[in-house]
Amino acid sequence: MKKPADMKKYSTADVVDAVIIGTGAGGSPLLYKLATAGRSVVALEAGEWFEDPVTDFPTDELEAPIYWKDERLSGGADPTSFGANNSGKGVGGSMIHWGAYAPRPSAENLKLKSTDGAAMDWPVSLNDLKPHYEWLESFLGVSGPAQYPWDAERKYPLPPLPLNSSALYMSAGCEALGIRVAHAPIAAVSQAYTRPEYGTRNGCVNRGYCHQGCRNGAKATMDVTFLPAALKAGGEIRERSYVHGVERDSNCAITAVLYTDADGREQRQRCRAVFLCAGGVESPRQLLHWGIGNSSDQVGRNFMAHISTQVWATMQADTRPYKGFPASLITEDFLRAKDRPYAGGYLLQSYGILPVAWAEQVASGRNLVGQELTDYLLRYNNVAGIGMHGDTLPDPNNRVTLSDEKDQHGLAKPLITFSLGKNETVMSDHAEDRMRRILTAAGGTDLWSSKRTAHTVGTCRMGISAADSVVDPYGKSWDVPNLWIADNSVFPTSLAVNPALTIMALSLRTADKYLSN
Amino acid sequence: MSLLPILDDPRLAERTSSATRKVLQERVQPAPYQQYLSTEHMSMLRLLVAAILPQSAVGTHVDLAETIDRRLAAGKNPGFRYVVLPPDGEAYGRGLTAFFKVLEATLRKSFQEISASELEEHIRRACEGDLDEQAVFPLSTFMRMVRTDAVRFWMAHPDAMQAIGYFGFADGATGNEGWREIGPNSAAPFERAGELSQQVGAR
Repeated sequence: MKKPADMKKYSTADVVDAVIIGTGAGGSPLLYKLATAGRSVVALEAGEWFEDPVTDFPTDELEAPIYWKDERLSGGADPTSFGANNSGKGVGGSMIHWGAYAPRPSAENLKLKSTDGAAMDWPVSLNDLKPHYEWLESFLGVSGPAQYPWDAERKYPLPPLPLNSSALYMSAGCEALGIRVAHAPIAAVSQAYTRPEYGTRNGCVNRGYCHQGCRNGAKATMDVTFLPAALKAGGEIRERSYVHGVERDSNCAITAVLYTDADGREQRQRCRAVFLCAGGVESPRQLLHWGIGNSSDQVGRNFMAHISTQVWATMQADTRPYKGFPASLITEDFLRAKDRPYAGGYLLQSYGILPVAWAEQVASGRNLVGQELTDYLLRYNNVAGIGMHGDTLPDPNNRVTLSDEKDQHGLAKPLITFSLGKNETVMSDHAEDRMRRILTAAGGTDLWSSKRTAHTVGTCRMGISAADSVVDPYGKSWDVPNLWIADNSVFPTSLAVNPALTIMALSLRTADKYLSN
Repeated sequence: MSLLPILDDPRLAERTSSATRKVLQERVQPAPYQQYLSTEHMSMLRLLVAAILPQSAVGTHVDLAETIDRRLAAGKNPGFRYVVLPPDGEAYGRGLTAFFKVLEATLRKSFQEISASELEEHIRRACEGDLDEQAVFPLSTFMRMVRTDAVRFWMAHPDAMQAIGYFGFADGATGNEGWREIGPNSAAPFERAGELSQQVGAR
């Protein structure tokens, strides 16, 4: 997105209605809603403003400039990967690299305590979120099947994207086993799509480098949807603006946000409200650094990464896994499997993958050394994969804390401690068994699995009581009267689906609540 | 022949964006840099990565040790490090020393005299965590980092791409080309041609 020459620019001396920290799936819908409602609002983004995706985004895995590369410390029994795995930086946040896989959670998935006796219920129901999901699917231009097998009412505005090799093999394997599949709901437009809020986007051309930044506007990133609409409505974005503090008055309300600007100068933006939308690691890190909002002692706790085990197989045919939307098929048959020996559920998705990401899985998951490793890497063009995203249960000992090491801004580097529990390993085994059967039925041989984890969820949980949660059911801090949080950190449980669509839905809900006051 | 033989075929070249070409070119012909690891550590690292990912049978000669050393010199990492390890540069130095010290003590000879099969076996044991205690260093986590670095830098190199028959970089110069056929056995003609020229080149 080109930076508009006529973008509204507020002065730091102005007291703006709101400062939004982060421009990803949480911050962008808020910027749009608040600006459209006529509020004065400034979004601070730590990363770059990418103005031309053709020159900014090479077709390359190592040099994609869109990830959060500030060093995080990863610990626990199952340390998760950050950077390209789940953490973005730049105007548009992690949505620049998101896979655009956009399923909704089921009603039961939001109520694990009631249905499975595990963890807690969300203080929000599917009915609360449904109008937001429907609006988002239309606004973003989600491509999906004419009939969604697990929800007869659901209609997607665009026909589905084509299936790549992995998706076709998963489909064949599932059909042989009587497992229902569908084209996945994907927030990328399968043909040119026009919305009055942001104009026309090109249809997807199956480039495959979706996680390195879409180059033609097909994928519903924030910089081709919410952000241009927000700027048109009078919102302001300041890129390369790194927040490190706040000022407060005697009532504990925030009066200004402190940040280092693009030229390295210290700035102080006065404001009436703050929306913290920096994601499951940076949001709690900021709160811990500011030393506020944590009377519950829940800030940073219950960090969750989806259990995302993958199974890979070698096919006789050429699969060329770099083509098409990486994950483009879905089954929700295991969201609530009847025979499940665990709480919650999982979805399965077909997996196309780029060579470096695949080789990393091989290195960590397959345990090959020497000529065997080289020989197997040469098989890249013949592999097909399936992956799961499953409920990870909250555990207060899985958490983000401040380490003893400082980053380049003088802030403590975050330490993320993460260990899988029994529920996750039992579920992973269940899913791996299904994935192996599906790939075998599709003709796959030489199967192996990689027990990876993905996404950053939890850490500022919403709840109905100030004693055991950080924010209320609308994302408002229990402790700080004008602070709201809208991102994946407010999720009380991880859900069995990819988080971004729900982050955006919660963000819209937070915006409505704020604007109604 | 150009420095980037994989782009010799004009059909591949015209489908590669200038930003992508720049990245690939720099990977084949990187800028000068200041060596980070000591000369002894570099010798150890060369032995280690050659044993983890041998290239001679494939015919590629990607200098993985130097690429890793460049990463350390630039202070770059993927956005995280395992907390049980010190910062990456220090982890490489200490990890290499610890790994080869245990190896030399076990086999009672200097690391330069150790055979490839001995080294490979030792790497397996280190990866399994069998040597962590003896090394008084988290060698299993260290090996996780080394293995990841080795496969990353090999897979991302144009020589390996050619060996694999991978042409995903040639997905269009403008972003509006992409791929038409994406199912099994649907390589584009220029992808098949790329593979052919690679075979000819190997003879």
